Amino acid sequence: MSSSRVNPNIQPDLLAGLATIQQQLNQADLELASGRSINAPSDNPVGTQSLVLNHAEQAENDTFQQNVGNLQSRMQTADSALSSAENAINQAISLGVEAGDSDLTNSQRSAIALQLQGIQQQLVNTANTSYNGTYLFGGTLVEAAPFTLNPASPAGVTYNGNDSVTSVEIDSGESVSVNVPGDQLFLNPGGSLLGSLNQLVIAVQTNTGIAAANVAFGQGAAQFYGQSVAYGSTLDQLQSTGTQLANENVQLQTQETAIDGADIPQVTSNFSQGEVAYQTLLEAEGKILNLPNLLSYIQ
Amino acid sequence: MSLSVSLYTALSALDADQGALAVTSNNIANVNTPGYSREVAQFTESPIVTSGDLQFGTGVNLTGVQGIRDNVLQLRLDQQAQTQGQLNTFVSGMNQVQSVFNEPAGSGLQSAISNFYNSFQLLAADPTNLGLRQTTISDAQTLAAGFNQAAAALTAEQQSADQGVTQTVGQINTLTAQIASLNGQISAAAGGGQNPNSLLDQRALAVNQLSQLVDVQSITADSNSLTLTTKGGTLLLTGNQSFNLSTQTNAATGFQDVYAQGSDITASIQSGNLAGYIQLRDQEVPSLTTKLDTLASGIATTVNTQSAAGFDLNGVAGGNFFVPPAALAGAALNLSVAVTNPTNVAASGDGTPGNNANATALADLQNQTNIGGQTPVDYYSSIVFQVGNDTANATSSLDGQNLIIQQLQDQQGAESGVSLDQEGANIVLYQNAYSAAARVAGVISTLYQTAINMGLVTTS
Repeated sequence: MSSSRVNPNIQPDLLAGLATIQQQLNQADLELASGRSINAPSDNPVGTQSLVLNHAEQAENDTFQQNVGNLQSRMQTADSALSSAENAINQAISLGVEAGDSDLTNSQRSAIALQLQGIQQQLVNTANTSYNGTYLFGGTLVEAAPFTLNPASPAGVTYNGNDSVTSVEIDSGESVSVNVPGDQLFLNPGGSLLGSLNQLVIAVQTNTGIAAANVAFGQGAAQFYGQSVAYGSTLDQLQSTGTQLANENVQLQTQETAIDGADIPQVTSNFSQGEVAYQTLLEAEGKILNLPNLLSYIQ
Repeated sequence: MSLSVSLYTALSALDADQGALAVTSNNIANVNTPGYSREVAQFTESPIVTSGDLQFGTGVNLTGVQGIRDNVLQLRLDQQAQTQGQLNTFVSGMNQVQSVFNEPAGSGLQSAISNFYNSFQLLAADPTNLGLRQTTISDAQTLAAGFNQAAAALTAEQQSADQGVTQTVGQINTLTAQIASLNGQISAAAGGGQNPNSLLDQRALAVNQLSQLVDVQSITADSNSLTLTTKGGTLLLTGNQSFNLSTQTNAATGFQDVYAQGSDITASIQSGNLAGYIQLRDQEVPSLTTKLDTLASGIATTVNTQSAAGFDLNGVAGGNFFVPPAALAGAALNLSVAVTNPTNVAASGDGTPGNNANATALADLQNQTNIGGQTPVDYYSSIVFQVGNDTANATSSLDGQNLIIQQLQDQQGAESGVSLDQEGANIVLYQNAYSAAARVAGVISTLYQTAINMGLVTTS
């Protein structure tokens, strides 16, 4: 009877078997520690490439969200400033009507004119509102106060800004205008708030054409309100986009987890199975290596 | 037929069994010797003698000790060792290269690229903010440092592979000299009628070690003499003469080329550690470095162009944001930021300080296919993919190769390995045969005594 010879030196095979299980245990350990199934590009080259792109998208999304947050603060400051002008405008309208009363004395009208000049200053201050050191209503000339009082000017002020509108990207392919130029708000040709107020002051001071000046101021106020609405709309858009960006971020994180998130129950199970296999193999190999050979029995 | 013939027959058996026991003893002694092939005692029946009409056997001779080795199997092992050697070196190097990119942990170049472009997006929302302007410069410096470090690390990998080439050539020369010397000893032993089993084992082991280092093909000539060449045909040794490989510095690359007898054979080396080092040094790492240079140069050039289209905080036309790369080669290693003063960041599109058009345009460069038809991050992701894919493929091949070699080694072990069980059985076999022959000799001795005492009268 003949039988095929087997390799008598089984030690390398036994060690290779142990090494294979050890490697599986190490991989499972790494996944459990990091919570990720991809810990090096070679673990999953396609997955790694997707993760790189995913991380870039998340970073851009985070930036858009930061911009939305910063712009919301800025726009709220502008919106609040413009809203605060409403009281002053209403007061000026009342004073204009009051000044139109023919029973008033010159000194009473002068007092009203002084009040109106105070409101004029108040509105100029509003028009010069700044946020973090930059003026909000100067177009893109944001470093100098956009309005200065100038009695020689028909409008009573000089506009130092420009009529540029700044647009900021708040999501891929979506931009929002973040300012209304000061001349458009306060010196609009369709109805100039500050110009008509100055004319009202002069009219009251000279007691000439007060009624017409009141009408013009009403038109200036209406134009101002019309232009101011843009800030509210932009804030609404920022709110909506902010929510959308947060949702996109959740989606990107979900995608990331789908790509490289370790299946913890599965990995834990693999680890336990590997541990059992390793111990079993060690036990078996210990016995195999300790098996006697024929020489042990030769006297 | 005389008793003395029978006695010599028994003695021949005693000699043969003693020799066989010596072979068994040597097998047991070398059970753990690397490369040792088990030996088998070869018995041959002694010539017969004729006496009258009868023919008688005259015993047994131990005519040889045969080393049990399968040369074809050994050849296959050597060939597979060449591929294994190449893959081992390549995978080891690529694992280092992977760590250079540090992905997908998120702290690699992707993060630096994204942060850089996104810093312009943040600046666009507040273009006069000096803090944000400074951030664009800081993020650009971080990006440049990331490129510098990655390129330097790749260069270090190349230099390490280059050292590997030099060291491997030295190891090859040592082994070829050793094999040539063994060739001479084997020829001399075989020519003198000696048994060169041990020398053959040593040579087979050395050739296998050489196969790990370089692609080897062997030609066996007469008297077991071996000629070795590379697969490209470069003669490494013939008979007892070896031909050293050498290295010479390549003036263009600064790395070591491999020379044999005055000829540059670098490109012809196909496998073994040497091929793995050359593949890393001359193909894989340069390919990655060129791509990294393309990316760095592309980012610097497009950002500089866009920067020049804008205006800084003082309304002055924008200048270079990065120092323009002198050439594509070295662009990543030498990338540096030109702008140092935050006011000089060209965020404005029309010269007014609050205008953000150019900052937006700079930020939008990250989504434009301006580098090899891809966006910067897409292009970078393809580099990372190449690193991962090449490493994964080589690792997978290496795993397969290790299995093939393990199987071949099992086959070789089954053929040539020493089995203590078999040697134990042989001991019993030879011991019994020796005892039986000794017994025969004893019986013949008794017969001699009987014959000598014939005719003697004993008195009581």
